[in-house]
Amino acid sequence: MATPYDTSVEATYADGFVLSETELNDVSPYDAGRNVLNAILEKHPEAEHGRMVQFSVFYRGKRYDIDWTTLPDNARPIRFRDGFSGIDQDGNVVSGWSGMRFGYQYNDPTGRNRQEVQEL
Amino acid sequence: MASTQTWSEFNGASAGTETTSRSEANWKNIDDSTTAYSSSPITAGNNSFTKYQAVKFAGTWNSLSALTYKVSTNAPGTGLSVVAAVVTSGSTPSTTASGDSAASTSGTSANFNSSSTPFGTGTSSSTASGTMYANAYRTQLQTTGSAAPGDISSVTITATWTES
Repeated sequence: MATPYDTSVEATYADGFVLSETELNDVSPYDAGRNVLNAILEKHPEAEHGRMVQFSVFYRGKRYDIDWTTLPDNARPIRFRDGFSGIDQDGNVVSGWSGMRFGYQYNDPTGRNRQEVQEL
Repeated sequence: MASTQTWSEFNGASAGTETTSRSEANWKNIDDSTTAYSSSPITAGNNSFTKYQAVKFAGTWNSLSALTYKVSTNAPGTGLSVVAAVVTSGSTPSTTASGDSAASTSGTSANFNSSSTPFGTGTSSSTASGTMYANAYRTQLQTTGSAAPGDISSVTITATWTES
């Protein structure tokens, strides 16, 4: 298995299927013009592989997991990464990630927004 | 893969000629992307030609938002100041003072414009993967007679954004 890209996501489904941003070079197998997070958000794998059971992100050598079986059906994963690209007079172009946030969001039966996001 | 970024420079009439994948960003006394800065130095008391640059995104993403441009310093030495603005149209670069304010060191908001040009109003977020130009960033190095001869301290121009 390839070393996960920094800030990448991975989703595991009920039948054991894993959708990995790193393995797919962040191209959705369901829509080549979109990324893997979009495939997860749109629930594309669930028709074939069942409900998502775990949502994971990788950042600076660590893996962070959310047990999705504890969340309601309308829960949506959150992953935002903060990017930068700099150019200078010395001929350097440096790009990367300076931080990320991940978690979930859903509306409870009363319609109230429920959200938990962790800053990494 | 996520998004990838390159820097483009725009020269000539209405800043309409693009040079892609730039790796240097020197202010000069000429409007082109080829002449070495040492061959067209800015003399003390004068301004550089205005420089139009834009960060260009490629690849895949779910969304891009919260784009800013900033500089590492807007006063890289005695008698030196860097002014800048996010622009929605291009003018032919010149040494006339641009009228822009001191370049922000904390970030000036910019939009995502289109797949073909950085010039336009754009929108604050993009869900269209593929190619996406951010608004262009116009900078100019302005000097006074007290500016010392020789190279200035390097200034980094940085674009920041949020991506999902």
